[in-house]
Amino acid sequence: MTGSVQTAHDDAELARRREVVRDFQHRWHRFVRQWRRASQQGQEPGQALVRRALEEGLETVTDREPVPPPIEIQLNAACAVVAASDLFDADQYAAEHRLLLGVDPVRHFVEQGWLDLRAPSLRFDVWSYWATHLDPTDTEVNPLLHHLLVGRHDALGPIPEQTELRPPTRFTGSPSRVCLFAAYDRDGLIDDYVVDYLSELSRHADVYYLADGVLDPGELDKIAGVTKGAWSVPHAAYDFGSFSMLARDLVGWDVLDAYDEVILANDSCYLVRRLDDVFARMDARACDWWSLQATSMEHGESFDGDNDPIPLAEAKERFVGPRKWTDVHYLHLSSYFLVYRRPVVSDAGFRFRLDTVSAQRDKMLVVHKYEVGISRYLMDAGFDFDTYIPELYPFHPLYSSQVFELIERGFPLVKRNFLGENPLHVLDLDTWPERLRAVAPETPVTTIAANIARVSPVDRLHEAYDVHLEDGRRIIARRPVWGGAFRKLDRESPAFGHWWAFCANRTTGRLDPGLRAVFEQVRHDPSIRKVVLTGSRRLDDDLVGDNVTVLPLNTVDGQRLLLRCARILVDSEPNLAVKLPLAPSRHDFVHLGVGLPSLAHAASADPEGEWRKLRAMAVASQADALVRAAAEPDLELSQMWATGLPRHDVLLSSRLPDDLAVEEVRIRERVGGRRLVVWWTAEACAHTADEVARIGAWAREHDVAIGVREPRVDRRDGWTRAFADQGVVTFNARTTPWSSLVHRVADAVVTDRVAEAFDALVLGTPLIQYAARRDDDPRGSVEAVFEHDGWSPVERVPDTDALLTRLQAVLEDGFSKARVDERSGVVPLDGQAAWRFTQRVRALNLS
Amino acid sequence: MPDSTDSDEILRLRDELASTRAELAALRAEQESWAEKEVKVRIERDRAIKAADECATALAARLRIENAGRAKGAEILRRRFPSVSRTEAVHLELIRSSELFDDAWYLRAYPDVAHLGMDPALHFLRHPFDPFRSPSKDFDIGQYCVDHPQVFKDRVNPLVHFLLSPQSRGADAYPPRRR
Repeated sequence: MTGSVQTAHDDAELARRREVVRDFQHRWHRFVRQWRRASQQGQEPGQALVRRALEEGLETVTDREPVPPPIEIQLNAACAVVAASDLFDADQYAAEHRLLLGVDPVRHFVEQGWLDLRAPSLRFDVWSYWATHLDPTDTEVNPLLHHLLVGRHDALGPIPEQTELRPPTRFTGSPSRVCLFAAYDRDGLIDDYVVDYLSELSRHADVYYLADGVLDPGELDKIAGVTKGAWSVPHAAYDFGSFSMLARDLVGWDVLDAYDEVILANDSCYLVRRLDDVFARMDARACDWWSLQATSMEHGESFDGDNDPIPLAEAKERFVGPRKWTDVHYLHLSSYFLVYRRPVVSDAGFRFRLDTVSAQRDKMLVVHKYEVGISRYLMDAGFDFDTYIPELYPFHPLYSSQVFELIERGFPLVKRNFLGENPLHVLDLDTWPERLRAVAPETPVTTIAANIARVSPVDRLHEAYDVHLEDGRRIIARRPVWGGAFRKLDRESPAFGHWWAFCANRTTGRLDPGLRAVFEQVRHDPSIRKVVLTGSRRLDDDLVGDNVTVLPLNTVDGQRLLLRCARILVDSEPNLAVKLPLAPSRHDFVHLGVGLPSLAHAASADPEGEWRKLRAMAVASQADALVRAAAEPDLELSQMWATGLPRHDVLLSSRLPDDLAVEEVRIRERVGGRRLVVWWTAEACAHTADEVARIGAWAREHDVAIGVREPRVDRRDGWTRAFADQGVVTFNARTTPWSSLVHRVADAVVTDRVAEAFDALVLGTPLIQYAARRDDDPRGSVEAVFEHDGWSPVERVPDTDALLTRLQAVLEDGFSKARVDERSGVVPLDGQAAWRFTQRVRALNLS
Repeated sequence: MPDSTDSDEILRLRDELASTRAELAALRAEQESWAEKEVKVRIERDRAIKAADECATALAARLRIENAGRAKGAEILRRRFPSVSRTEAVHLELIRSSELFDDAWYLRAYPDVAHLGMDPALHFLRHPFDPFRSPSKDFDIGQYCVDHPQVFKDRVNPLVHFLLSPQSRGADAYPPRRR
């Protein structure tokens, strides 16, 4: 049980370090108070105090804990200490880290720089000191301050010491291997290329898989045959978060100890050939850790320098050792494929670093702290490394056209975002299938192409493949513009009242039901130009018609078209639909309506919503108009169009457009003839595991399907995750973008959302109000406004028992739908709302 | 029409609506093309007016100074800039005799030069970078620097570098125009 011993050891070490941090804070707080008092008497006493502290260190605090001084004072004191120290080169700091003119380098370092791991000088290494002596999981204490005031007096070195190279590991037979695989998929799937990659890895190693996020139910079964363990847990700490969780909690160091090699791999690459050659060749090499290639920013990227690959031995000599201002400049092995042998895996420092991986606010910090950080630690600690490609290629080998050369030499992988985003503007990358096939005939081109089509942002793809040669020059597609440049473009473009922009939903990449209903009204009218602007997702709707253009908004052409649209139809807050400064004098935002907000709900709506940009908004009834106008000071009653909500046409329509009809059939197939209760909640799941199991048991007993629709599924406290073991049918935005279709299929709805409750009422579907919050919390309370329009009040269930009782009652009632009749003051639900709305938009041209 | 029924009427109306819409679409397409042209002309016009204003203001200021103090102003102005060295004189001659330098265009495009009261050719010779300023619309200085980065190392004016190179023989634009 060395694993648990290891974990316990690391926990003890972490506890010791937290004690160090706390002790330092006490001393520091005391010092700050003294410094404040001294500097109130004048400059000299304060400076003298700082000088003494730097020379002698801070005294130990033995009496009770001092109260922390205000943060502003602490920062001032820290500035004084750093400025007086010999480890901060202000001018070089400002130059190397590209500070803006007028920014004080000392203050910059004290407030922000150390958190970004910017080197204060070449004589101090922030992260290495932090990870070696302080608590690497939090950001309480500036490592430079600790070193200046305490560490150097306890003989803690400011930079890592170079250890002599150890004798490298050699294998006589074939080594046993284990692989920790980190994955993430924004659609909650396990893609085919990952399955291929995992099964190839499983031929050489025991594979353990961890996906960050919540996978759709059943996805893990795809890889059950090729993995020894597979999990999905949302942790948001990127690939190193997964490696850490696997090594520490899910697999355990004791299991890893039994193997000769531990492989860390992630899903950022496509496999283009088998790995036999890689492992055969590397087994014969003597080293402690290895990867496929090394990366260094020090080599390459220069227009007149020598850009040829250099042998790895020479690279080690030139680039390992000298200190750099930025961490990514160090020679390192990237995290997409890393292999550690026994001496590394059993090294305490290495384990501690991997055990203490924590979520970072910025992806760059993950690279700095873990990818480069662990690489550098191992190099400094004397573990020799090797790479499959025996040379160091100029930066960045995996994103330039050298990729194809590497693959020809046997390199087995190609980066996903190289093919999907082409960050370095490689020429004619759209011909990658032929170029890959030429150098690696086994490349699974169709699988790769399918994945790129699914996950790559369409706007980036436009840019990525639009790099070509003209007269021997590389022409890179122009990029869309922002801010002032966009405003200028707006002034210099005509706008037309017959150009209508339809903005696709950013999360689902589809036209939302209301927009689609309006689109259907003008689809075949040649006199109106329909511009459908997509986000970064591909639009799958069938939108063929007269005078229709579909383009990603975030492209030059997309912006050009948007600027010509005088009518912009949205069904979310205007500035969320289009995050560009359009001139209100030339462009009218018209909102398709939310429907019956409660006062409290509307008041808690996004304050950044910029409703004043709206020209008009559709409403379902007089009460709706009154409440909306009362809640949004920027909207007036005269701006409310009592046309009814276009999205209700989709709910009530007997003839859906073909593509939607097909989708509806697919949903019904997934439900499989059972009754469907949909949990449609914005709030987190507040049921305990027991209660969830009871709900699941009830559903199984009565052959009812549990459906879950969530705005965001990647949450720890979400419903998809809570119901995962109960045979749930998920209708999340990524698999079932059309909420109206789910409403059409649902037999009962449990919700805390006003808009969804309203849609259920319109259809007469039995409705239960989910109330995880306390009764006196006004948010999520839907019944108050519904009664204005004569809807029957919605029953609110306080706990699981009440919920089950209510569900049982609905079941015994045969899931019968309520009759929806005409009401006064309410626009009739006749399926003509979109038509009325369209007429009003047309009429804007006449006013 | 006695034998007309309601449904016939609807069919006819539908036909008529379709043709009216098509007609409207054609008209709107025409409107769009005119509006696009109009906006371009408007931008050109605004730019021209602005440039003319700037240049005229600069000229007025210049004339005022030149004629001030019993016409000694011209002398004062001359002393404001370092005198032309021998190499610079050669380069100036080269630039002025080239078709790739258009002094009127240069002043219109960069009105601050007119305000400065400096000889446009000398200004261009001394300040080709930072920001990049093209000597005329036929010479893309940014592109030239991308293609010949040694101009930064040699600290030489890109147009001079070009004119001194054999590449420039008979050239009337950079990058060369497509034939």
